[in-house]
Amino acid sequence: MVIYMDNAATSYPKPQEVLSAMNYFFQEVGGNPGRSGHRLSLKSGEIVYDTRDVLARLFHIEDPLQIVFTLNATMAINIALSGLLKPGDHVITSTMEHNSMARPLRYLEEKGVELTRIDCPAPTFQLDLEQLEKSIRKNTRLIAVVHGSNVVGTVFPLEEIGKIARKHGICFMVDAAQTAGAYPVDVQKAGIHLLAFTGHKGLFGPQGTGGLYVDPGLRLESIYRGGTGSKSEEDRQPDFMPDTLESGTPNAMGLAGLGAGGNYILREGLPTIRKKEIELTNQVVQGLSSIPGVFIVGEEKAENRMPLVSFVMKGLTPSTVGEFLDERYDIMTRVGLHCSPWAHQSMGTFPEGTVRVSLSYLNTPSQVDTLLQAVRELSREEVKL
Amino acid sequence: MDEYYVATFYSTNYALKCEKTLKQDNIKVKLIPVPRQVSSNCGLAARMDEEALRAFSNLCREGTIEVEGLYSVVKEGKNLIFTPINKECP
Ligand SMILES: Cc1ncc(COP(=O)(O)O)c(C=O)c1O
Repeated sequence: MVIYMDNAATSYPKPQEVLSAMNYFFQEVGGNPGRSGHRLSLKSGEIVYDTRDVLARLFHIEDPLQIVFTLNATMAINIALSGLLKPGDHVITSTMEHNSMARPLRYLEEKGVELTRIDCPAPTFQLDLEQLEKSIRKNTRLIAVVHGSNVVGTVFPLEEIGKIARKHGICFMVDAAQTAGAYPVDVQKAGIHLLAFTGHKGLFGPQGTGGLYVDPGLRLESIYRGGTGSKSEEDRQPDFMPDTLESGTPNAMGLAGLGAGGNYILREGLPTIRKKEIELTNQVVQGLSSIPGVFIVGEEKAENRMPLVSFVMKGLTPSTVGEFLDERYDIMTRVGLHCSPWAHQSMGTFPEGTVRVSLSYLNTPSQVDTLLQAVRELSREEVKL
Repeated sequence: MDEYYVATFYSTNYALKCEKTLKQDNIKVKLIPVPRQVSSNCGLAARMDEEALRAFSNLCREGTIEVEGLYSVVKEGKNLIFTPINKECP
């Protein structure tokens, strides 16, 4: 049996009900959601709506129709940034961003958007809130940051960032790719205007699902247009949500699975999920810290981090470690830069990166024991691969 | 049921939201294809009885659901007669 510890890339396995919901959709429903009047199209539309509703409950969103479905977090981030920002606007972000935020921002910078990156100093790699507030200018339009780092696991304090944004009348956008489903997100409490999430990680949905929540007070210009199943006689894009930002047939079968994943989380309860994640994180951190030659990157305490741990081993490249874990112990980890060059540059782990172990609610303490045993062996031996 | 009501919507998502919201309060509505006697921006309409209509109107006034048109429907012989009614205060 494979020991899967790459949940920050995509979660695996998924709860059985996610598979059942998708199977049911494929076998019994099949219709195009919201396009036709017959009962299979209607059923499909209801399933997609139910998924919006479940996500709204998870993120404390008042109106489910303010959620736009996308293929993933990357697409959601692009829709948000390109739809909101104009040349001359100033954006504040962090040095811990994933390329799905970094690259669209760099692109927009070339088009005349001003960009400031806030440091996240070692050893916790927490966002420097003082520097954040000091960086605000007259033309600052947006604070856009990751919620949980996919490299070191550090979770940023959304409510405090939201408070700063509110005080200065600035929009607040969050990349919740790592945290959605696995860590509480409350758009109302934190004052979030734009929330990008992906379906295939903590939410336990399939790949090809994700979304963007848009505050009802915001009007984004869509980066693409097309059929919506509404106002069909009009050749102009409707101006109401979510249709204005959501054209084309969605991944309805995937969204059926995503809804089941969301329901699974609501039923298990986020506090229960968090409790297990914290226990597993502490087990990994304590175990790895006791092995000579192993250095953990990122020392935020388990309560403020995702269940993922990045580390390097003395005298071994991350890829050697990853290969050993895979081939000798059937343990799946991710090695390298994790799509986050900014983060590794500021951590001093560029360009080799780290070994990243990322867990989910469905991992077990005995799997962690096996990981620790493997790393211990590797730290002692001359390994031949 | 001799008389019933039909609401039309600007978008399918509004129709689905209406159905879901009313169902959560145990109020019966049925989504149907838009009858050919009325025209609408979206292919789905909601059919409801008088009790459901009252709950529906409350949600409209609160702004929770948005409606395009509202009709009362009566059967006359083999024909259905659709009469527009004021969607703010039916
Ligand atoms: C922090 C962060 N943001 C964005 C993404 C992009 O997610 P997706 O590939 O689903 O668009 C990821 C995951 O790869 C991530 O870890």
